[in-house]
Amino acid sequence: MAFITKRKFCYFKENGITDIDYKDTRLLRRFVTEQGKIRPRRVTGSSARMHRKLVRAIKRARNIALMPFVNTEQEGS
Amino acid sequence: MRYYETLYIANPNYEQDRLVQLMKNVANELDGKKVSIINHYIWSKKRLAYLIQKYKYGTFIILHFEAEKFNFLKGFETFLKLDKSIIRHQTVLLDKKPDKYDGKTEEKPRAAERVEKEQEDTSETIESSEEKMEPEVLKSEEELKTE
Repeated sequence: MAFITKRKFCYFKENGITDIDYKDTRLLRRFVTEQGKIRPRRVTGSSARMHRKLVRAIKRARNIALMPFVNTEQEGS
Repeated sequence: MRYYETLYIANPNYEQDRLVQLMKNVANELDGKKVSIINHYIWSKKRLAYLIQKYKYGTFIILHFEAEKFNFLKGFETFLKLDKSIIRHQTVLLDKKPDKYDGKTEEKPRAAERVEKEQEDTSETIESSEEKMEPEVLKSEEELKTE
C-alpha cells in the first residue's frame, strides 16, 4: 500500500504575506496548538525567515493579552 | 526617522468621554519631545485572553507616532505604567510608515481572511449542490418504500 504524503508549503509564501502583524490573531491562531503552544516549523512547513517573524508576532500578541500563554478553555464546554 | 506603535489597554468600564480624556493625556505626554503623532484611535473593546488586574475585557487604543530620537521612550513607558487607567501597554518599532487611519475606511482584508473567504465560498457551493441532491435521493427512497 502506497502512502501519499501531503506536500508541505509555506503558508505565507503561497499567499504572498511578507509582514506579520501581531494584531492579526486570526492568522496567528493557525500556527498555535489548542493549548496555545507555537507549532514547530517541521509541522507548519513555513520558511525559516517567516517562522522567526511568526514567533515574534505570537509573543507580542501574548504580552498584550490578544492571545493566551496557556489555553485552559476547552472547546465545546 | 523611526516609526513606533503603542497599543495600550484602557479600563473597560470607561465611557467615551473618559477615554477621550485619557487619550488627550497620553498625547500631551508626547508634546514637546519632537514627536509627531500619525494615528491615535480606539481600536475596539475586546475580551482579553487572560485576566489582567481581574479585568476580563479591555478597550484597546492604538497610537502611531514618528520620532527622530528615542531617548524619551523610557519616560513615556514609565508614564503609561504609572497611569492607573491603563492596564497594559506595549510599544513596538515599525518597519515602515503606518497608513493614515481615517475612521471611515475599513481595514483591508488580511491575507488569512481572504483565503478563508475563498474556502468558504467553495464549501458553500459544494454544500448547496449537496442540498439540491438530497431531496431527490429521499424521494426516490420514499418511492421505493411505497412500491
